[in-house]
Amino acid sequence: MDENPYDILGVSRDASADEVKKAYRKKARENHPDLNPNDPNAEERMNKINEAYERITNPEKFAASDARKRGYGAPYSPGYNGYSNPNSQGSSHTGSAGGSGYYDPFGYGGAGGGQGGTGAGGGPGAGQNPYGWTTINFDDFFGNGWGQATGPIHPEASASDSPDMRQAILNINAGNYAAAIDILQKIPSTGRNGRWYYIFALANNGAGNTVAAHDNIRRARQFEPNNPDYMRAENQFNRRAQTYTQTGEGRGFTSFGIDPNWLCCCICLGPSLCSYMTRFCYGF
Amino acid sequence: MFGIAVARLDKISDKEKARYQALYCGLCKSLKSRYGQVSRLALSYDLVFLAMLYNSLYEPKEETGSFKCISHPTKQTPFALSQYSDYAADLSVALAYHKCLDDVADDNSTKAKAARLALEGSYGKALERIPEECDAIRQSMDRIRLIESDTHSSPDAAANEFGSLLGELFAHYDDIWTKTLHDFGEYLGRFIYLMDAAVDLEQDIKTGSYNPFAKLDLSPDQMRAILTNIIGEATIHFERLPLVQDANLMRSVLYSGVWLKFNQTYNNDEKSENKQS
Repeated sequence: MDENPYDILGVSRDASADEVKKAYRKKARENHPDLNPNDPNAEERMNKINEAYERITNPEKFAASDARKRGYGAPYSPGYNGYSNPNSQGSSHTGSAGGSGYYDPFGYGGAGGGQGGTGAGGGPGAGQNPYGWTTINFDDFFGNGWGQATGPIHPEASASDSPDMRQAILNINAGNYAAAIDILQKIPSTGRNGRWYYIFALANNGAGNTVAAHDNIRRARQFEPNNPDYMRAENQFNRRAQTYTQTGEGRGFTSFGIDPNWLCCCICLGPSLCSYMTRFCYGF
Repeated sequence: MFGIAVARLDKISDKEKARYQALYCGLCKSLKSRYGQVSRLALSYDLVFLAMLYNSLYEPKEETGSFKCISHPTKQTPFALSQYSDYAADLSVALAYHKCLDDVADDNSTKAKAARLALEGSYGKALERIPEECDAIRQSMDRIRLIESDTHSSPDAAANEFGSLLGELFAHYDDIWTKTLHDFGEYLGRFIYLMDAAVDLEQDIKTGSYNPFAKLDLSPDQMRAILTNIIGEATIHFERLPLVQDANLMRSVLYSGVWLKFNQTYNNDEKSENKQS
């Protein structure tokens, strides 16, 4: 993509997330090929608009390919497909690739439906950085913890680690979390110290086992409350919670509190009776 | 597992409350027209959320109006429905039926058996309309039952399985948004399963029923921290979708409403928020 995605959508660089979304929807409606049957360029414009929206809202998707075009090389990626979805290894939902067809975000039907152009095969040469969207600060959109990719933790083996522990660490760094969990679970309970719980927490976190990850890092910290690695891991495990809370509060919502509208039988009796009682509770 | 994805009514406008109710009545109307009166047993706000999500993403033409329903026979009740209400209705029946099967397997109560019997005919129709989804639900519930009966299962196993199911159900339409919807549904599903477990923990310990939190000795604050991280993952994907219509209503669900049962169970009023921070 040679153009600035903000220019394509017609929004300023400091546009809010809602403004970007509204602009995207407006552009998509104006340029949808089904609504412009006599315009041979509608499809190409639609692809650009889709990519512009993706670049603004999902920059890490393009970070690797943009870096390669600039000649910086792809960043280290031990099996994550983007830090926001660390368990996407093996995911089958990749969409279709290809340079033809257009996205149909509104379900109007039509031909194609394959992925729009990703800019591959064209664009700037090495060393150029005309776009800058990989340096865009998305804190305004999604709160702290989103725009700064912290990346997965790569534990290092220590001199006191057993061979099994070292093998588990190798597996974690290679993204083979299930294998790491398997190895660690075979270590007898007498051999489980703070370090074991820490490594086990990392393996579970990588495997998407959030409960186990949190429980085990908590246990690791019980063994060594001031261990900086354990604290760092715990902080990283909690980063989504921080973003969530900030985003919710920014929108005027809290995860605390009791809604008096629901205090009646609705919660207690379940949906079947609720369907009859709700309007009583609402006062509608 | 129903009744978690509900709106925070005291934080939205009267117009939004009316809209929410109209969508609820729209889903109810769709259930009645597709499956008959008794299928309204399957009605839940959780599936209203799904219909609302698709409506917002695709902005289809909506059928609106008002009608007299069995709950309010004397006055006209506004409704809003679309093609996505129909999919939500189909899923409502399928999920409710399998929940009944689960309840029968768990406690074999008369109530559970009666509900199963009541929904059997409707489920037959759902099988014709959404056969892949019904099959996915059946297989997933079977796997969850196995996990729940395995004393050595990981505390995340059942939640992750339910998350996989919901991810699949959310990714019903094959388009640019399939992956984001799938990922959102997956994390939301994990959250819903674990929220249900957190709310039922005390009861499950008393009855000896499976609960992933039972062996972990976590405080409510620690469970809250875990749940917040999972719903946090879900909302990252949610916020990627270009949703304008009903966005505030959906956010009232995701950032607040989903916590109502937890707060009710653990007495987390808004004063507790100050103690947390």
